[in-house]
Amino acid sequence: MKFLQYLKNLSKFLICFIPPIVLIIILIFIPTLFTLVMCFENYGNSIRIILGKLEDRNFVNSIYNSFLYTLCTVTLQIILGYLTALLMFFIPKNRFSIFIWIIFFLPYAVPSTVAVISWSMSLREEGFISYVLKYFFNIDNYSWFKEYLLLSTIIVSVWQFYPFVYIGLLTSLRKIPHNLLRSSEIDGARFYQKIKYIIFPQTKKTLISIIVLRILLMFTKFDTPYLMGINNKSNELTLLPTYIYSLINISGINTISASAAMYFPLILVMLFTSIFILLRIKKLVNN
Amino acid sequence: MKRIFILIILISLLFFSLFPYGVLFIASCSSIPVDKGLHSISISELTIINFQHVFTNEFNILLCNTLRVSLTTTFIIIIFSILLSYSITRFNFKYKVYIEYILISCYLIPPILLIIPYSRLLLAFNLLNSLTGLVLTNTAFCFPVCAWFMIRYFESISTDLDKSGALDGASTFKILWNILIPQAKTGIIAISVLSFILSWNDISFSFFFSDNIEFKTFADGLEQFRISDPTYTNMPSFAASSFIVVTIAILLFGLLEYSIDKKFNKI
Amino acid sequence: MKKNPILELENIHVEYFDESDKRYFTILDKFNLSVNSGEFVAIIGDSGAGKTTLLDFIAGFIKTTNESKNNFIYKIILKLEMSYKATGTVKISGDDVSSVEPMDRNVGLVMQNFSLYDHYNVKDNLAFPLKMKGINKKEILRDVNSVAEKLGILRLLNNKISEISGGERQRVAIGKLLLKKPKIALFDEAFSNLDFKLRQVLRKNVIENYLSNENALDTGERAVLYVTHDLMDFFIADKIVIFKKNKVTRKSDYEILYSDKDKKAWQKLEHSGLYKIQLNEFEQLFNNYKP
Repeated sequence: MKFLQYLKNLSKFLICFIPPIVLIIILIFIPTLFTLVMCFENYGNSIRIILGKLEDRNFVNSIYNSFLYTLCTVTLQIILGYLTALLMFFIPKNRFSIFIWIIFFLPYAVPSTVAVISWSMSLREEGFISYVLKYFFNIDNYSWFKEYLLLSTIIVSVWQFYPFVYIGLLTSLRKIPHNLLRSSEIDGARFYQKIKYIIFPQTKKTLISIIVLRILLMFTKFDTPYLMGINNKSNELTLLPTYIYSLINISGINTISASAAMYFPLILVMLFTSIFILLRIKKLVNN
Repeated sequence: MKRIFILIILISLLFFSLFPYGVLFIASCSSIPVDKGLHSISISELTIINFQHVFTNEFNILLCNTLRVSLTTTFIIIIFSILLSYSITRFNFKYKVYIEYILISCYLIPPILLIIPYSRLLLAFNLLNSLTGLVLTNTAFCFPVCAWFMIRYFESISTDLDKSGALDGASTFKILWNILIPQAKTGIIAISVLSFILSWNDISFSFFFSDNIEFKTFADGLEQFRISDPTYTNMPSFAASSFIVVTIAILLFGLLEYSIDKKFNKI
Repeated sequence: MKKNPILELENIHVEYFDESDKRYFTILDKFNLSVNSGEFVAIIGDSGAGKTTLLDFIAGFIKTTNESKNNFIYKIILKLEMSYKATGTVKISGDDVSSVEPMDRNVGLVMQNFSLYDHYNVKDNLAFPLKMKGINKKEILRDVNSVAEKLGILRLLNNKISEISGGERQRVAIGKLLLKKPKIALFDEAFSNLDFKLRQVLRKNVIENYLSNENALDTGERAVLYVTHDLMDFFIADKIVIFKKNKVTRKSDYEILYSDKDKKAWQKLEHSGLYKIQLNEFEQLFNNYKP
């Protein structure tokens, strides 16, 4: 009888559990495993290809650009996102605040294509930003988009993804006990002291995990840099993902080729950043 | 003084957020190609004719495709994530904690890493250049994060409800359908909006796996039009259709925030 | 010798905005109170009757709204920010502090869960008010050590807040109060989570220590305002403020009893109807209580 009950429970569990797990295995596990096998099964060959690629200036450039891009975008996103989250935190909830919430979240709801089109329109020589700079600061009309492609890509990426930071931080800010802030005010903390001594330490853990997520997601970001690159004919912006894509494009999407070897640095960098950062977190938490 | 300082920062941040959206709006209302720059457009030249164009030309196909792909993806994701979160939160088994870690690490796998295996998979089932293929890949991409959120929601529902349901004589699946799903309503809305928007805005999969405009989604198809039109002559109609797409996404996010807000105000 | 009042509240009027009814409700109206130096005031009342609102008003979390200020931006900010309207004056030692920020009022507040900063250790918690004043580190360390020694928490100084017990947290909160040396100490149901005996001991220690300047680092005028549900607290109070909520208008009536520490005050308390307790039970309690 007990055994029957157990079987009944087990069957219910399996009916619920198996379909999603099969989905994950077929659509995520097996492809990922396939990729890993593809680049590690013949690792001697892969390393030889990568060493050969080191003479390719595009490859070295792409790695350098990737690091620069990740560093700048993540830093700016964190600063802007924190500022926005703090603002939303200090604005009390009422009928108007939901509109402000939506406006701040708007960039995240915009597809990369639309963001790139809109920003490239305003960063052109005839665009709005050049016009404003000429009008107010008397800087000559200048195609920021063409000449400073990396900078414009960074601006667009920051605009697109700072709401992610903002939402994450806002939820953690709202979890701070209200009494803690009141008590700090009674203890004589000014506005900036309250942020420095109470709010910042209380949100530190969330901040670190958001930084890790952002670094990993920005390092592997493909669409925004790629779209910025093809919208521009004068100079090519190569980051690691776009470089890999160009290799796949040359050799054809359906053949395993040298491009598979290029996953190697991407995976390694992802692995090392996450391990490095995780170790740092442990240290910080212990302190 | 402090308040005015905050107000200034608030307004400049709002401007930074809204600025490209405003550019898009002005461009979509302009009757001439905008190669001279938007500041040169006078108010009398603004029209709404571009919005009518959206529903008459090839954007129509793209919008339809995107809608079909996103709705199907959302539907699949909702069902599967409800099943997964129910089995994880309501049954005890070993290593259950690791499933959440697995979901998070799946979220971090970049699409570019999976192009080659996916293209082989889709080729094997003859799904390249089809909407079904896009639905599958989008599901794979959105499922981990959505399922993770859903587990969080199901955890917040007390197990006492299950017990009282069981005492009233409801079977396991009746409990799931009649008690847990109504309880997790806001969570389900939130997750459907999230997965809808992720697949609505997706560009990579359509870009890699569809060559034909018939099987492309909006975000990617628009880019193909852009490349074929380097002099911005068709810019107003691009802008108008982008504006509509973005507005739909924003309205959905507004709904999401509103529903979440309502839930927490009740508590 | 006639004492000057240390705290004067005149004509306090607070209205709250109710989101569901879309209108303002008066919660405190024409409230007057003056507290002399060295006095202990107990505040009781129904929940939602304005006890915490009163403490917020004194602490400065509710500031008087100036409707006559004819500034466009100010009005917008008011509309966005304020969910209440408040008028009235608060005087501390004769100075009007109605529009002063909480950090510049000479007030201390101990809350129900003590609200200690759980990301700091005990030492940093004690030092926090002094650090905010910009006092140099050596003096802070000296003061913190001396107060900690008096309260018997010297061995806990490097512990985290999550590692210490409820009674110890209480002592840290009191240490903070003694280090900050405010003129007025507000206790918002500060001892209500603790068990009966501990509550008795702590309350007696705190209030007597604080009022008598025994452990404090300087001497000066002091007063304590104390929100409570515990009947025992009335036996040592100099004044008792009773709030009574009118359920229809949501406005609170109030009554101030001047205790001369005899039975008359308890008779009045019984008439107020807040405590459904017989007078003879009161007497029994009073007779059994040995301060």
